[in-house]
Amino acid sequence: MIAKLEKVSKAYSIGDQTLIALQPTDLEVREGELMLIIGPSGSGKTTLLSLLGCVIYPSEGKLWVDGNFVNEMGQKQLSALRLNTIGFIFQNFNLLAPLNAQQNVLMPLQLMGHDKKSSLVKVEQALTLVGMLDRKNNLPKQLSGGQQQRIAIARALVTDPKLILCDEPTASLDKDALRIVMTELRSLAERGKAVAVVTHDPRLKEYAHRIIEVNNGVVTETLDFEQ
Amino acid sequence: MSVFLIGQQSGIFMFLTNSMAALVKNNQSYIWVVDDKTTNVNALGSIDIRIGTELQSLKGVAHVFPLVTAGVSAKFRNGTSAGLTLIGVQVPEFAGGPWDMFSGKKEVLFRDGAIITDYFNSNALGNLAPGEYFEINGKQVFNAGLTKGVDAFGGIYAFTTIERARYLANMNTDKASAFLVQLNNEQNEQDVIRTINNHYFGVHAWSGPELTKETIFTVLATSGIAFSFGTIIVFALIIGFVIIGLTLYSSVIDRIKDYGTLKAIGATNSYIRNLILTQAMIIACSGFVIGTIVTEIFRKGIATTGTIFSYPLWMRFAFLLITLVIAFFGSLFAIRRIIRLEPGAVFRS
Repeated sequence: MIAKLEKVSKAYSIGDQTLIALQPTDLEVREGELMLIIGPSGSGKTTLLSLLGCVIYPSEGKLWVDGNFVNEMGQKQLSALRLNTIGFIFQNFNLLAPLNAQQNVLMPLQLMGHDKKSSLVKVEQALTLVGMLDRKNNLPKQLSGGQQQRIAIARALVTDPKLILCDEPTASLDKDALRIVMTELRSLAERGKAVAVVTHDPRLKEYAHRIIEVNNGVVTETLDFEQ
Repeated sequence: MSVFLIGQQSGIFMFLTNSMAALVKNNQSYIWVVDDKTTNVNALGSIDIRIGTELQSLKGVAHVFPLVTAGVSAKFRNGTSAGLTLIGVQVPEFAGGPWDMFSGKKEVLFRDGAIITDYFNSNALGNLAPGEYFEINGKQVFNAGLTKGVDAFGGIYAFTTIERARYLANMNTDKASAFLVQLNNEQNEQDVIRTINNHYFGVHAWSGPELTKETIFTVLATSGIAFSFGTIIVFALIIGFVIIGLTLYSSVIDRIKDYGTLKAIGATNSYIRNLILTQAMIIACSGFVIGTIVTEIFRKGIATTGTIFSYPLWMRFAFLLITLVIAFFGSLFAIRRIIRLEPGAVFRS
């Protein structure tokens, strides 16, 4: 188990009002499975993903990621936890526009302080894994949506994270690119990573090992194909 | 722009402060004995010539050279006229000037009616050519030689012998404006200054550097020059601060998604702070280089009109330091914005 939520809830204050984005939730995220988080817009999917990604603190409850008790960790420790344990794949890829594909993938290793020579070897391996080595010198704007998402996957994988979090990773992709990206994510899960994917897209269900449905901040249903 | 404005204003200010005390600054090795009301070499009062004779008898004094300064009116062949500050010096010692000779030698002052003017003042002196005759207070003189870049504060210097200066300015022969005291080599300057100040009524002795400093202080204190230049420099600093601040802030806002992504994937606030500071320092260094080049072009351009100044090395370092400080403070808004950015925002964009 890479992450555990115990009665975790999240509330946001908007002016005088308090919006409960996630009701108290118990959840475990396990290695070796691709977990799909589905639900309508504003249901709390992204809040759940943000909690798993340690980019926000829970309002109530307890959250552990990779054995670390997140509630009590400082910003600096959380940055280190995200860097070393979690790989992020975003809906809009979020590649750094001035950097080419290779430099984008290199960035997390630079943040970790790895030496450039060994980092470049890892970058080449990650780009090879997603079939983008030949486009390593291209800037993001010179790549299609599918290609950019593969670069983003390479960036998420280059640090060999235990947990991969994807926010609508196929929203901007056509059918063929969707298949390539989801096959890659499924294969990562089968190689022992924990993969959590937030989506609206019902076509992704066929790639999931497990499906979590979120409605009005409540995790209402869990489909676990493995069981 | 800030570097240029600060450089330009500092340069002109330096030029003005240099010219404020140009007469004494170029004769620093003498003790200056002037009337005891004067703290400004541009406004010397009259002192009795006999004091010079008495000073000569002081222990350690090698020579005493009288000097007169007088405001006179000059009229030129093309019909124009101009005010001059006439400086009369004792020859052949030439204590008090002229200096920075450009054309001719100081000794031309031996010739009857000889006046030395400055190369850059030719236009202001009715396009006066070397050798050309003109009138001072209705008496004929001629332009015997030229200095280059010898500027009076708000006026025009012309040099001649002390006798001719008295004649042209209708001054009494028993009066001088100052005495320049030259000491024997082994004599302590402060001892002589102390003796003069303790024993002579109506005069005050200054070392060259002291009178220079006092003159500049007096002029600055009694005019709005320091305030005026200071205000422009402060505004230049504010402009630089605002420009760099806005540039960095808007560049951060433009790339807010990138910074959010960096924070989400694990970049610490200190990493991002260093990133923005590096950008600020690059902007500062580029600005400094461009500003310095533009200032240098300005300096060379204005030198052709006689406004000559140069920046000492410490001042160039000060400009660089000021630029870096402006950039540092300008970047604080951007850094504050990014540090307050939640990494979770990246999922909501």
